[in-house]
Amino acid sequence: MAVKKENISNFRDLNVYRSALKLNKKLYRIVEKFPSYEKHNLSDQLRRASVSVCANLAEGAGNYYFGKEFDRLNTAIGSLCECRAFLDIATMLEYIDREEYRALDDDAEEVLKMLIGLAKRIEKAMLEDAS
Amino acid sequence: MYVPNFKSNVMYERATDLLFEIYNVTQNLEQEKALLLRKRAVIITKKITRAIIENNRKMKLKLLNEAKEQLLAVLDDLYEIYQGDQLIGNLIDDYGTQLLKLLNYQFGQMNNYDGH
Repeated sequence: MAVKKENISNFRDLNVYRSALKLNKKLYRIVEKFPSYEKHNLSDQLRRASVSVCANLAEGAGNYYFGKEFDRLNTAIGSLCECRAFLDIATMLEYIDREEYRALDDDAEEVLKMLIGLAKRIEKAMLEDAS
Repeated sequence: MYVPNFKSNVMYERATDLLFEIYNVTQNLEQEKALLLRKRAVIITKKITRAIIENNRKMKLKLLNEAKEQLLAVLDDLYEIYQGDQLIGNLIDDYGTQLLKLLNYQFGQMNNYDGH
């Protein structure tokens, strides 16, 4: 079982990182529309969750060990699902309209698929040396 | 790697129903009280979302426990306010109880798995 990578990749080359960064920018913009009383609640939570996706991707890519990268990816997936949940809440409370919600949720789903794809590739790499 | 769809999970649906109801009934409360209750409601939804997609059993249990802790705290706070006649909380009680039962069911399922 492969434990260590041969070299550390540049996280900025990852398509998933770029997509996550774009999503992060859109979410930061949308959060400005939320009411002021959500400043320390929903707005704060959504910002933190979206930043967490990019941060965990970068941390995982910058790690020599496959296992640690996989853990960071798992956390990034969790944070992304949190973002989607917060978008559901924002729509329910009518802070954003349906169109904005659909566009953002579709983007988030794309990033999720890419994250899962990356996680599967790492799992495969970890098992390759076993054969 | 399998990531379940948290949106179709009944715990998530109940958590969002509860959150919506809490936001509704706390509209006329003092800002500080309302903010605390709403914060708890958001944390419950967040923890449950994370727990649903989590594959690691230990982390899943931890997240579900944290969600349950927040749920019990918010129901206690709301009950106190309800006793002071400051709000009508029938639906919150319903959703809160349902969510509590669902959480306990999850714990039961995970314990049964441990037993085998």
